[in-house]
Amino acid sequence: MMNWLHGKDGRDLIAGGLLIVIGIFCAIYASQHYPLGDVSRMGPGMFPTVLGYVLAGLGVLIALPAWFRSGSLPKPEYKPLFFVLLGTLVFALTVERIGVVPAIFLLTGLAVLADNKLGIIGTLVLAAALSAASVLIFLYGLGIPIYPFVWPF
Amino acid sequence: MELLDYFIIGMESALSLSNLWYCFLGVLLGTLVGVLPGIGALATIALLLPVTFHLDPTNAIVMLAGVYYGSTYGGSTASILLNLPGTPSSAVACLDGYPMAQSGRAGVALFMTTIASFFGATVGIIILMLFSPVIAEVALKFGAPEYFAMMLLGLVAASTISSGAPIKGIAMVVLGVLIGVIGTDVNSGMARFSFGFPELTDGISLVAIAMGLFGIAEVIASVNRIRRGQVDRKSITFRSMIPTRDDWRRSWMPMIRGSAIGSFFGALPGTGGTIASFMSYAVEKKVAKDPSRFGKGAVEGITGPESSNNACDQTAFIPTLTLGIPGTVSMALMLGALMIHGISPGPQLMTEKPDLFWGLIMSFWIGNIMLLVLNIPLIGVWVRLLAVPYHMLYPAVLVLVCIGVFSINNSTFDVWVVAIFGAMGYAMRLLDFPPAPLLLGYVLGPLMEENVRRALLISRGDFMVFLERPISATFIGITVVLLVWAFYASMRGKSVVTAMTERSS
Repeated sequence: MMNWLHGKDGRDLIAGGLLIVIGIFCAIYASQHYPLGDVSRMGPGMFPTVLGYVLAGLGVLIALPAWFRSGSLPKPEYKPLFFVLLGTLVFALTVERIGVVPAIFLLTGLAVLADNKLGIIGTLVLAAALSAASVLIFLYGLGIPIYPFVWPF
Repeated sequence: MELLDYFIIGMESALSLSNLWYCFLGVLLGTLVGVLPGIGALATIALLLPVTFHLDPTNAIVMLAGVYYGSTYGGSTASILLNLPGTPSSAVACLDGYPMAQSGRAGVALFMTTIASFFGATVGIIILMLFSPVIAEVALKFGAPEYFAMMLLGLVAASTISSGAPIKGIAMVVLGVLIGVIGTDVNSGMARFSFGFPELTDGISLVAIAMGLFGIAEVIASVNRIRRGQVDRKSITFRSMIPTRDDWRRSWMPMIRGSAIGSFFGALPGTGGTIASFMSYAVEKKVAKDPSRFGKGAVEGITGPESSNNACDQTAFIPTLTLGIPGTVSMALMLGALMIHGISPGPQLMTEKPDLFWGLIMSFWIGNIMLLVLNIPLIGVWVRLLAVPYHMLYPAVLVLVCIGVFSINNSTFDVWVVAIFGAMGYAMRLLDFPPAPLLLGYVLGPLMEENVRRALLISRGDFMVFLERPISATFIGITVVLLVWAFYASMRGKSVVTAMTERSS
């Protein structure tokens, strides 16, 4: 797997490659959708177009030397990445539908799975404490209208 | 005595009951997050931003500033006791602080870092008071070309003088500026890069980006990394904190040198406490009669850098408050907090809002005195906090991030943005891209675009306008020197800070 990266700095090749893709996308998108104007009267497209090409150029400068030197590939920690992001997304999807308190319980429950060190009881206590603190601070302390519970039925 | 008038105006504002309370709250929270590894001042300031929308602007900024410099005090505690820096700028404190703790001198190390922090902060505040009026006066004459050139210099400095490869820092600045483009263009009213999302026409919220890059990404990276060590609480008694005469004798010159180094790097846009403390450590090692003591528990190896990063924290407010140009990401967030209240920092701030400006500076004195009290008699409380395991801490951080972002507009869109930037921030970590320049680019980008457009409109498209004016030409010149050096360094794959740490560790 990834044999073609052998003897090359995979990390910087990926890094540079991503910048080239993002840069060229921004430059082309901006120049096709927004008027460029000219230097003395710049249109809304000029600044992002130039920046896009600059970013792509920097990507080349990062990727090029990486082709000729050896290095290592980054090792992502998929478990925390997955559970932390999943927790955040579930919070976003549920907070308006079922309310802040259940959303916090879901978020806490998913988040603790990232390292699996806290037991079920510990998780429930933590989630309850965090819910209470959030409602106290945001609803009563700051007077922000958040709904602790929403009944969908 | 103009300075005395300012002093009185500031004290009146800083000593008001509400400011005292928010100052206390700020430094308390700052110490707390500084002590705990895995939560930084940045994430905390970002978390508090939504809260400050509901406060008076002076209260808000006094509190946020308290978190900022308070965390630097607390940061060294974990470094000394656990060999685990609580904040990046206190990484140096591990080098000699941890050996001191192992040889039973943890109390002395904690006491001396607090004294050194207080000393450094005091020097920084004095420099801030003396130089701000001068710089604001010069800055009043700045036009669009000068502003553009200065912001360019600030961004290039921030991205090249960092701990990673300079070219990656520059790339992140450019990416940050591009993210700043998202939203409605002020000149034409056109929505750019909104891809059909009505929420994006207002741009991406600063809080959401900061929480994603520094909150979520930090949690993902820390979950399996942070291990709590055992701390012997009983070893830190009042008696154990009393330094010997020899400790004092060794420390006072490093504290003076450290404060000078820190004040300089703080005022320079783009360099922060990490660089200041490493510089101070390198200098102390160089001037020491017996450099071999360093790394084995030399007291000057903690007092110098600690006074340096605290002085740096205070003088960092000079470019932020007088020019409206944040040198570090924390400063960018504070600038953001002021702008949310409709206050644009710049040379006019001092004359238009003297109670805010001088009140803030005077609150630094008060805050630092509070920190002295919080850190010396209450050190036992902070040490006990180190025993809180990270697996209980990080879900709490996540909940605060999510609910904090959601509460700003009662919008789940911002929570999605946080998740996206969290994933992006983690990817950036894996690829060795520094997140701080991205946020700086995002904050300064729109201002830069406005100024470059204005400058070229006035000069009818002639780029010489940036070189014909002496101040702007100087800024551009320094920028070019930095860029040339950055490209040279990236070809050799080194950075200043790595080169320095390699030598000193």
